[in-house]
Amino acid sequence: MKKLLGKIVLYSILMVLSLEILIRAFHLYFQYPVVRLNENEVVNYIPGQEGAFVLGNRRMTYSRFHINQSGFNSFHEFEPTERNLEVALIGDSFIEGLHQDYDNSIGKKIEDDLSGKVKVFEYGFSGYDLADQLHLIHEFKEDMALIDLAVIYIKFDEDVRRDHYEVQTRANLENSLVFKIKREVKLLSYLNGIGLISPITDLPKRIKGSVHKNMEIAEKDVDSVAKDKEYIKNLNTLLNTYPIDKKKSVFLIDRSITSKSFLDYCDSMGYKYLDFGNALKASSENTVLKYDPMKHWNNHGRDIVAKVIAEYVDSSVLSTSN
Amino acid sequence: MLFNSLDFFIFLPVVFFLFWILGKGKSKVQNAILFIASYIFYGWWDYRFLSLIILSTLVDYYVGRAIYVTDDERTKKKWLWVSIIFNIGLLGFFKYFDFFVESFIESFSFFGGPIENVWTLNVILPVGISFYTFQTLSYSLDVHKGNLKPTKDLLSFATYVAFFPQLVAGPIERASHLLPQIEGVKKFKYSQSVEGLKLMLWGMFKKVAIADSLALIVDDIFTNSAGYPSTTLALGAIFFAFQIYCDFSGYSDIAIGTSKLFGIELMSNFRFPYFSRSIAEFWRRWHISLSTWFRDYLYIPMGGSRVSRPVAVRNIFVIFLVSGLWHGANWTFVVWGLYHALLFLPLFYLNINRNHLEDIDLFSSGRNFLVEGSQVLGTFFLVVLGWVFFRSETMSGALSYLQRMLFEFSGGEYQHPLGYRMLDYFVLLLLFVLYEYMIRKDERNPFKFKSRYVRFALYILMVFLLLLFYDDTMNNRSFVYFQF
Repeated sequence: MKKLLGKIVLYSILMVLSLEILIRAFHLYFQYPVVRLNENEVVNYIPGQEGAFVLGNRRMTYSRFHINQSGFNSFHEFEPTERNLEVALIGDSFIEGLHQDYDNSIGKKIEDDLSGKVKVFEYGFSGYDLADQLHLIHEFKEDMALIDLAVIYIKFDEDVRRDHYEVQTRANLENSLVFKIKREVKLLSYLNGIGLISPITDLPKRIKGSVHKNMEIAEKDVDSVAKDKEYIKNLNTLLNTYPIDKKKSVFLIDRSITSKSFLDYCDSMGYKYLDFGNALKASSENTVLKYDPMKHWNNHGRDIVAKVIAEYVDSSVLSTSN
Repeated sequence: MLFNSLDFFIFLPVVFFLFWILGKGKSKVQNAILFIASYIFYGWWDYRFLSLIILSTLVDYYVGRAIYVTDDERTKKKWLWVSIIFNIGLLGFFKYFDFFVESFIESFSFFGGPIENVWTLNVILPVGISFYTFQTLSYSLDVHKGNLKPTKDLLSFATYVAFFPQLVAGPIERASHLLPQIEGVKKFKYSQSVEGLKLMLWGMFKKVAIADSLALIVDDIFTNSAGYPSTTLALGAIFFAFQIYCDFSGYSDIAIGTSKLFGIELMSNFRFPYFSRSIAEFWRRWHISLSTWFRDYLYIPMGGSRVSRPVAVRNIFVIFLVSGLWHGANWTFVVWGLYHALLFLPLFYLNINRNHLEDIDLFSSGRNFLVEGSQVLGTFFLVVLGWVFFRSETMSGALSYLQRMLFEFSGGEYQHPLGYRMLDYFVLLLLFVLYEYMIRKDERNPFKFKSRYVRFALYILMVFLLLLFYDDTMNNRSFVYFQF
């Protein structure tokens, strides 16, 4: 028995080491840039990081990222001017675009669509909700004052669950020892990425039988009147706390999954919104990364969204500036 | 509880240590631990159906004793019928009740117009019922034939019926093989445990890396077959052949490997069936525990082949039809069995069904590579056609699938439903077939290489491939044979 246990331990150690080497050699691990909390209490990435983001087992998506000096994944440094036409794209992982090469981003596509007449700055960060986005606009107000249009990507059902800004726990979490181990041990990072760690971390919850309940709480019914009311109240509070320039801002939404109460609110308060959902739906080709549980837009999906934004910029910014 | 779940990875070491630490040298304690562990293992899925296992255990335990204590042949027979009626009745009710009622109503309405179906009960099929009822039934049959002395030890018998590694999907063990091992004191053997762990790794690789990763493609193709060209339908059928083989033989390997950890040897259930050179050889290598069960308890008692030709043909049809029906309450399984009977019959008539008793060796001298190679491919092709019936939900679906696949040629590239590269799967299967060919002479030792470095490299490769093809959308995917 002792011999068996000894061999199991020895082989397990050798196997872990070998797998770590293989996963590093083939760059299969899920690498994220390192998160920071900047001096303005904005959570984003440590500037100057370069690397590759991997999604799906067997490296189905392998895309390069580049974190600029402002802490965002972008091909530009954010240096807005008065003389140029500039657009800010603000949003979560869909705008951050780690799942695409940073020089093939939505922002780059918009610039190409408009033949380089505008510069697009992408303030995207995974997990941002409206509170994060409005706080960011507020903290970067000097830059934003120079920007000609702010496009704020919002999923009403997910992004207005709170009525005030507080620093995301992700900033603390990702600087914790456990997270650092997860990041540095590439085998763990890979196992986490393919979903083999979550059954272990969920085990205590499963034993308590609370997973099911939590999942139910997370799922909100779009038609729920009570929830809509609460979300509109949050939205109103946030916009009062961090007012935005209504003329220079537009909410980017997928109308098909957005509650009517949000549209009514925007109409009554004079906020503009831009729908990309119809354009995506009209596409005969697939528009999302199939193996991605978050269903981020694939290259074709990003083409469509970029085109919708470019057309809007063309009609609302370029035409008026001419 | 599934073998490919975190629960099992926690459960198994706990039971293993309790078994060898508390039960060292004490058969009763060992059996008590295995018994409790087996009931927890099964109850994890649905504890309510433990009552059926308890009932089945008690009935056959007492039937076995009753047959043994009497000398009167009629009384022995009467008790045997109690066991047969009980076990087949249990199986019939839970597995076939709805099927027979629906089939009866369908055939009745064919003659006399539609009849409202008010008799079906939507009975839930308890996992593993086809396996453990056959196991308990074989016990009573063996005792009746005088091949086995019934046990007096109820705990040992209950452990034999519920032995968790093979409870839900076999191998269907005979009491004469398994029961003496359970009754005796199990001794820890290092080499046996190592063999067990290796088999478990190999089985897990087949299940997770191959069967589960192909399942998504197969499900997509069979569900949306109407929209796919014939080349994709062929791909779906071939992939299903590998899916079901790797799923079921993977389960069997894990079961055999797990049993070895407790000092118990189970029979082999698969011997590389896709290297068969005829349908007869295929059936000697596929689901061996079931085919030998039917051979010993149905085919031979009916006279087997040592009867007149018409009766022998009838016997062949009966055994294949019953074998098909055993898999599920659906006409597709019946036709699958019939199809294999039709393929077997010419071999029987030509008296070549006992050919190819030795393992295939394509490259040895004295063998014709081309002849044996084409026999393997031909048999595989015929088996794949049969799998279309097996996998389809309905007969009309199967026939339409086959018709389009075989007679309406059209081509087109297939896209994985989750967008994965299809090339990866072709490479995986090619490597798998080559590796199976290399190890084809010993199904119980998939890492039989002299060099420990080669063996270790293979362990790494298996785990690495397992991680590469693991997909959490398929998390804890059940084994295909659980539904039977």
